[in-house]
Amino acid sequence: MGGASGGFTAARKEIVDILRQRSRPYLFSNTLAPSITGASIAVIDMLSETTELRDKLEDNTTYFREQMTAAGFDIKPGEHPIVPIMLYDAKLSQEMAAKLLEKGIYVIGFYYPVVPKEQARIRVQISAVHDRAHLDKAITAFTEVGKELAVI
Amino acid sequence: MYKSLKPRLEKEIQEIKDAGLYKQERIIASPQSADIKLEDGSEVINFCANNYLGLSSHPKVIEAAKNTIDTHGFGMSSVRFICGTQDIHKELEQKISEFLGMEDTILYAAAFDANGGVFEPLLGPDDAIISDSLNHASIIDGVRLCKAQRYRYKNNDMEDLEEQLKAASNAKVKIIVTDGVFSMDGTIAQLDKICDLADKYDALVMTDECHSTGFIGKTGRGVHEYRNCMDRVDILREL
Repeated sequence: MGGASGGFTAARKEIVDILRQRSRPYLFSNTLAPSITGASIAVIDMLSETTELRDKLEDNTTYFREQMTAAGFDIKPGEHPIVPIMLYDAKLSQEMAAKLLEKGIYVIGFYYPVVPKEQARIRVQISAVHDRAHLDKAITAFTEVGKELAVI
Repeated sequence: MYKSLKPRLEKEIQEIKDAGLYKQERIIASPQSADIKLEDGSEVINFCANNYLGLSSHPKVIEAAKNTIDTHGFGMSSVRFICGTQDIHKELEQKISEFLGMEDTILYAAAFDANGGVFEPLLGPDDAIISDSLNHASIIDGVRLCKAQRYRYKNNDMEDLEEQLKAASNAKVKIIVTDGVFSMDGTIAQLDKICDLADKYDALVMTDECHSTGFIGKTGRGVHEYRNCMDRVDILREL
């Protein structure tokens, strides 16, 4: 959960039991590295003690979604920190991402076949490590580039 | 002889480039964070990492990783069942189970493995997998590895899910598989409604929580907390 590597399946007791006996990637790969294992224990402990990080992520997400909507962008509604800025046109999504990078905002434009045809977008992912200044800088840059490219 | 393969690969690479689909890697010369440094020395704000909680370079996480290298070494040089299971692996499995409200947990070296390794041991040709059409590639690959019958329902469409469950009614074991959050849209799956349909048609429920564990729901347990169905999910996977 620290974004390193490793995964898990959590399930009913008998399901996990049979996976330990029969699941091929489990049987034939070296064990998850100790450093990742120890760090993941620290993560679970931290998240069990306090909701501070997820609360900040929620605040950041709400703020970014509200400000971008107010700026006139077409955003898929919701409350998840994945915020798709809909542009529909594949070429436009690439051009916009490139111009944003010039302004110091690193985002990726996605288009077919990753998303359906005519559904190109820039996918913004909000984090608890962003502070208000990061978000404001991004909103300003999006607004400037959006006007330049006649998106808003 | 490589010369038999080389021209074929060159042609394929050119086709990918011609279609504008050749993937370039952007080189980062700093830890993963809000502010990252690129190879050319420029600094940018990162808005495309799955670093939702900022744990990738959180001081407590880094400290724990360093300490564990001192106490438990770098690698295990073994699979789990020979001599590759340490006290910390059991501790982590226990803690994940408690955190998510599940009975037990099995760790994998990669999330892709967790999806690749789950279907084949559980399901046979008399069983059915009913899968959301927008599920992640690793789920799709995992489904391919097993002999169960396959049904797909339209993304997030509960009416179509019900139709597919009816179509799969002859299967001995039925399992509904969904991403907890669809990663290109940020849509949160209607897991409570999926669990209702699972009850009605006697199916199991499996969810992939890569984009939700730790922050979705009031205490960050994931989509099953957010949709108020914590004890109704049978299998839950994460990276």
